[in-house]
Amino acid sequence: MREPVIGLEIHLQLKTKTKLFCSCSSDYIGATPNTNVCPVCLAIPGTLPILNDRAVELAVRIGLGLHCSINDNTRFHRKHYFYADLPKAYQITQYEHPIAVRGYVDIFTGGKEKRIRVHHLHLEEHAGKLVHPTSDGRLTGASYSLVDYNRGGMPLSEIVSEPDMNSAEEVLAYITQIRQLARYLEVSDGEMESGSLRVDVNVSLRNGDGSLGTRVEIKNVNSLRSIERALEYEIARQNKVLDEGGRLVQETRLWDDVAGVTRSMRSKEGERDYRYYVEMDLAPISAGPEYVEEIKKSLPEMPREKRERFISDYSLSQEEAGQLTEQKETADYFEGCVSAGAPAAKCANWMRMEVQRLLREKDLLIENFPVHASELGKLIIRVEKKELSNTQAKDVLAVMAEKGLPINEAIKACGVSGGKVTGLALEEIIKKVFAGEPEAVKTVRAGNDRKGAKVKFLQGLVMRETRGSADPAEVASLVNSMLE
Amino acid sequence: MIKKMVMDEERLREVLGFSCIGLPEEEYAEVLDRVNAVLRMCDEMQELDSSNVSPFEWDVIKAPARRKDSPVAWNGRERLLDRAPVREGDFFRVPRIIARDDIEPEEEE
Amino acid sequence: MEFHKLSVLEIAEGVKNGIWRASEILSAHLERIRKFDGRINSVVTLSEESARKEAEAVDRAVAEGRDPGPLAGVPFLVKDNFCTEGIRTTCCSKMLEDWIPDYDATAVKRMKEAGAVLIGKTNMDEFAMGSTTESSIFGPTLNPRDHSRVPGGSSGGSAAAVAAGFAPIALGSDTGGSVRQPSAFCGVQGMKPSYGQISRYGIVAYASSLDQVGPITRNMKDMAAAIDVLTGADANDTTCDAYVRPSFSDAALSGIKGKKVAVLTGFDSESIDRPLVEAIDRAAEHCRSAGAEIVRAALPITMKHAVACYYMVALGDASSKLACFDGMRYGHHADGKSLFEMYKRSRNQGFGREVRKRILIGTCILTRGYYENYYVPATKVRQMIADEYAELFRNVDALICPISPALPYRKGLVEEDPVRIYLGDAFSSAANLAGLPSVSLNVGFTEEGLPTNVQLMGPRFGDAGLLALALAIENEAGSPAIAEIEKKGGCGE
Repeated sequence: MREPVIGLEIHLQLKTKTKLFCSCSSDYIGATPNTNVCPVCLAIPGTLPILNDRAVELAVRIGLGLHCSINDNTRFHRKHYFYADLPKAYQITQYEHPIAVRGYVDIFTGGKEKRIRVHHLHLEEHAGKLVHPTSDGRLTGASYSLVDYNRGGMPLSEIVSEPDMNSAEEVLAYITQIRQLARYLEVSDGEMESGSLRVDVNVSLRNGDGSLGTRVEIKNVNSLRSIERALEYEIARQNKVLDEGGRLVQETRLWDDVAGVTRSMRSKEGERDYRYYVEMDLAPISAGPEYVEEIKKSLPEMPREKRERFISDYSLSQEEAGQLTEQKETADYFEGCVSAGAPAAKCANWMRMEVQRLLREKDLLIENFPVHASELGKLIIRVEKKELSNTQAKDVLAVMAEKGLPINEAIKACGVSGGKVTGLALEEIIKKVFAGEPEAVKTVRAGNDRKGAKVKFLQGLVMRETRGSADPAEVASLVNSMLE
Repeated sequence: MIKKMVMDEERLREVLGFSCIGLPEEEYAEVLDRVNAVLRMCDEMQELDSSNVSPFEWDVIKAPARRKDSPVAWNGRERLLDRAPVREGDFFRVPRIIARDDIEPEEEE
Repeated sequence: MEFHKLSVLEIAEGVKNGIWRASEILSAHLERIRKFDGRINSVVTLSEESARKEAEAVDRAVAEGRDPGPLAGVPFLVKDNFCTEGIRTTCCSKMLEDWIPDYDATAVKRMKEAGAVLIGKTNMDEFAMGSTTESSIFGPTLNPRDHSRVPGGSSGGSAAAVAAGFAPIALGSDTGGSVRQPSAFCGVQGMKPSYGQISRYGIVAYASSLDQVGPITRNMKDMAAAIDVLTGADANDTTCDAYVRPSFSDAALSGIKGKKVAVLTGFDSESIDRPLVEAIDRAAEHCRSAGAEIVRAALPITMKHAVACYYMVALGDASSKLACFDGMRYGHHADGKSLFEMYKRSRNQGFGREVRKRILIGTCILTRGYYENYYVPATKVRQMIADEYAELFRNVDALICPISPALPYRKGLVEEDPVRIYLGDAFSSAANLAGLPSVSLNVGFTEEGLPTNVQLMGPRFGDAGLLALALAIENEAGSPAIAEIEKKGGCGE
């Protein structure tokens, strides 16, 4: 079998408040069409692009996260083509000297670590959006189209890998790492569903003599699953063509998710001449060593470092550490819990079980979980001190999450006071026990329990129900009064 | 070694496509003459030894500070849409984006 | 009172001190335009209504004891590629025939904030592509000094209007000489400041790295005052330098004693019209009288390659900057059965022949093969030209050279001899390539009454020193008189 050779171009939409070259709000999802626009991104005559400082910062951040070298004084270039979603008829992008080069990402697949090299990362602006009035919303067959420029000018950073991947598994692992990194660094939401992470896949098959085969680019893969299926299809297609003695064409193919095939989109790939040249309306991007050093200092801990630290500092397993560090918010929560004094192992357990369950039930993200990490920590400490049983604590946590109450009030609300069942909660239990033993109750009420054995029996049942966490004196007193 | 390039009809056709400008065939010769006259004027630049020269960059005294990431709303949207050549509600409307024999749609989403 | 004969500073002084009112100054100039512009067709749009309001505001400020600004009541015109809010801005092209911007170019805004009154828009070569102002949809502009000749271009309307006394100041844009050459043809003072001196925001672009706003006046003190008002950083244009400017008006008065001024040599003086060679000699003499030392200097690389380099850079960029005109969001729209047909028909109908040709040449230069063999070498030659000037200005303070090799062309020369027109940019385009300040200064007229200007150039951001030089020469040579537009046909008939 010929070895697949795969490279990826990942476009991350940067998490800035404004567009790359104008001050239009970047909050365009769901907005009325053509409202997040201005003369600059609409290419009104006489306007000029003005570079967003934060976009540069985020590009440097992700470049550093990818272990790239950051280039100072890089330029933007114009990439020319006419299309309805491109007001200037050129896209401002970087061509010859991108802002970050020569990085890598380490992935884990099949139990082994593999380094995927990153060729470069560059900044570019997004195009607008086209809406086609066809039944499937696609371009084919549309007799006209509608243009919405809200997305036009949004900042993108394009990460281009070397063709170091050889399987769909590696591809997915790489994308997952990039996404995690982007979210850790707060550079991008990195979501394929909402379009803040887009992938173009380049795949070829290595020839028998080791040389690289003809490269095909696959576009329109909008989910991890699509990427998997598209790779499977395309690799099979390329193998078939070669097996039958045919020649592959270097081209761009579109993935059709419905039909499950890739379709040729542009033949003669080489002939599209974008006439790149330097964008002289923008100065070179200043990103010198001091600037980069500042940003480096402000970078949060990277996922891999955090995971390793969790394993060593908290004696967690690979798996536990992996789960807890998958998202920075989860890791922060865990550490908030531990810093309240609770044992790490217990915190990990609680997070994996109860917290996860509650988040799922309430369809919440951990960032929005009503229980503060330190409160969970304190709760766990109470259990450690045996002031609460595990079971009780679970109930208390549920109440804290449901009603947003602090620990002590939640404990009261559960009727678990200082670890003891008391008051109304105790009465409820007594009622329940009475309901389960109607004969005994009748006997006592009829005055036929001269030795008090039945009362003791009932008291015993109540104590058992409260799992020993009721005050025996209170139980006796309540049982007696309720028997009257 | 000066490379004297001469623009021909084939390249002119491509260029017409790239620039979305039409030209009747009768006028090709005139335009080619003009382009080639300009190119002849420019051949000699290749004579200069520019191997140690990097492409032009500005001498700047003080670069302005980069733009801060703060949204600013624009109030001209209605006026623009009102005067747009073809408008449909909140959108700009364009006719059928069909493939040309040399250019196909840039992206399918 | 012949208000049209007053200079910018005289008007401002008078209005500020209540000697005369902005409204009457305005009326006088509007009347002159209405009476005489029919002969030369320099103004394409009059903005009387808004001008009246602006003039009234100035008068009110003066009456209420508030500062009306350094250019109080000064009427000004701007080339029709300057965006003016609420006033049509056509670039003299069918493409933007009906376009009304909803914002003012920064240059326009600053003039208004200084108390100047915008009276209208002037004629130009379509999209600034030309050197004769003959390619406008509004018809050609005629040279006020001689109606059988062109006023130069592409800012021909602005230069002609100032020469004819329609306004004491007009703004133009200079990409390869488009302010300085028409100033020379019309016999007025024109300046292209250093690139990055004045904001380009709101100027419909021709070439991003060459365009610069340039004032046209009848004397150099007015010029310095205009530069003071126009210059400064702008958040809307990051190619505009953020350095702290000196007072150019003050600097212009410093004289040139002890300065070293070079006269350009190394070109075939037979290729320059004789009166223009003599003008340079006169200018050099005036420098000596003012205390400067005259030396000679050559710029071999520049002389040989500037025009070619300029055309590569300018045409390439123009093809790019004119691509936004596609009939979708603004501008001329023609229906089409498909997107690309719509684009093609809108552009073909909207752009004139010269503009279409230049777009094609520019696009070609950027395509594979041509880019590597023509455009890239040009970007390097550009640096070599800039380096050659930098080396020159390490040794001298300024340079005197021709601005145009020819006296004003007769009408229709463009059609006959386009390459000769290109070569007309031989001396002027270097200043745009290297971003240097350059003044087109009038130092007299021929016997036939044709103006003879010279070009003065200074080092990058040496605009203050250059203004001092220009003023020093003007003090000796005198500033040009207004063209006698009242005489039918101008001096040529």
